[in-house]
Amino acid sequence: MSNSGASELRKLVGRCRQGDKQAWVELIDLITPLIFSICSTMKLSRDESFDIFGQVAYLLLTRLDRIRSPERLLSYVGTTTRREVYALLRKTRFIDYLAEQEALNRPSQDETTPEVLYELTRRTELFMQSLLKLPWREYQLLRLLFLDGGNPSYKEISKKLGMPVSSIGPTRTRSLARLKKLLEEKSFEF
Amino acid sequence: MSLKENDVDLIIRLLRGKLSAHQRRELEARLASDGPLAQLRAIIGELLAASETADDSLLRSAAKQVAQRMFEDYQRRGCPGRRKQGITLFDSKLLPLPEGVRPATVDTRRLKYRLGDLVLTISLYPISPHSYEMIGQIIEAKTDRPFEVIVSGGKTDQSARTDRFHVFRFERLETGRYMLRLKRGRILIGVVDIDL
Repeated sequence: MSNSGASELRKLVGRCRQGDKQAWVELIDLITPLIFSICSTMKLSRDESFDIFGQVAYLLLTRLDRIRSPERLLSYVGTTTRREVYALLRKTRFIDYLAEQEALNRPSQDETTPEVLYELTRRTELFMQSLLKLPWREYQLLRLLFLDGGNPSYKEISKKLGMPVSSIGPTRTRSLARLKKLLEEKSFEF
Repeated sequence: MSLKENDVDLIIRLLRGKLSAHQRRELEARLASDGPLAQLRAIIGELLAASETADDSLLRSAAKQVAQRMFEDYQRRGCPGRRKQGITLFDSKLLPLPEGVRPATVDTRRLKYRLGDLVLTISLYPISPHSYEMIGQIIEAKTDRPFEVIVSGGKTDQSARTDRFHVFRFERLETGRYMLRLKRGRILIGVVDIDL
């Protein structure tokens, strides 16, 4: 993880531990795309995804003290989300069977072992981990441009990040090039 | 790889379906023969896909609201008399409605809380403009012994006992703010606050 990214995350976790609600909200912003991506990969409904989100956020909140290094944060969130999704799928599989929910294309029992779940969602987690390894400013820029939705203008981004409008385009290009390199280092399959 | 800003713009427009047919064909021909450019497309595609899987900004906002409430509940545990504060995990009232669904057709509200090792789920059914029926269940209880549920905040306190499925019911609760206490015998298991 880049020095600025790691130190920002460390500060964020530290502030959460001290009861800073705003820091908690920022932490939630970081992990939300990963949680919902995993849920989406496993074809969960909106309600189910929201439910999983609540469980994972709760577990993270109550175990913040045990997360020793910020690099482990996304791994922890990814692992916890997969575990909760797996538990949900096992619980609902029988109900789905009775209700003949095949039309939902729910994966079969053979397809949703923990190992399969890991492989299906590993790509998303690798991607998110690489994203968080960017220098903090570059991460924030890509997040505003792509992850947060809403399609903000360069002017809005400039105001939020305190970055000159003219530098947003070049910084975007540089960030994407750096992200590509980070993904290659993790043997990401493009 | 030397990326060009124009290439990034073109790929974003391609993935958002904003290129003309001619521009799309041209770009796809380039992507077929330019490995690094194709990788860039994959990266931008992942970024856009990650934003789409949170459904929309309303769902993300709902997730943030639940997380904020969760944090407040957790912090309240440090306050006198609130050591056993339950933690909000889910509130369907915060979820944006699916497209095409009118608010008037949605009547049940579902809530979920964590109380220590237990999970409390609650469904609220409106029975009049200003009152609700509450049906709740305690999940993951590793006991057959019943629980007692006490609701305070209305004109008088109401209490109910759980059945063998750990389900309880309050026939009528007026709109207002309530405190719900869950007990087993004389032991207080947890406390949650509910706004009806």
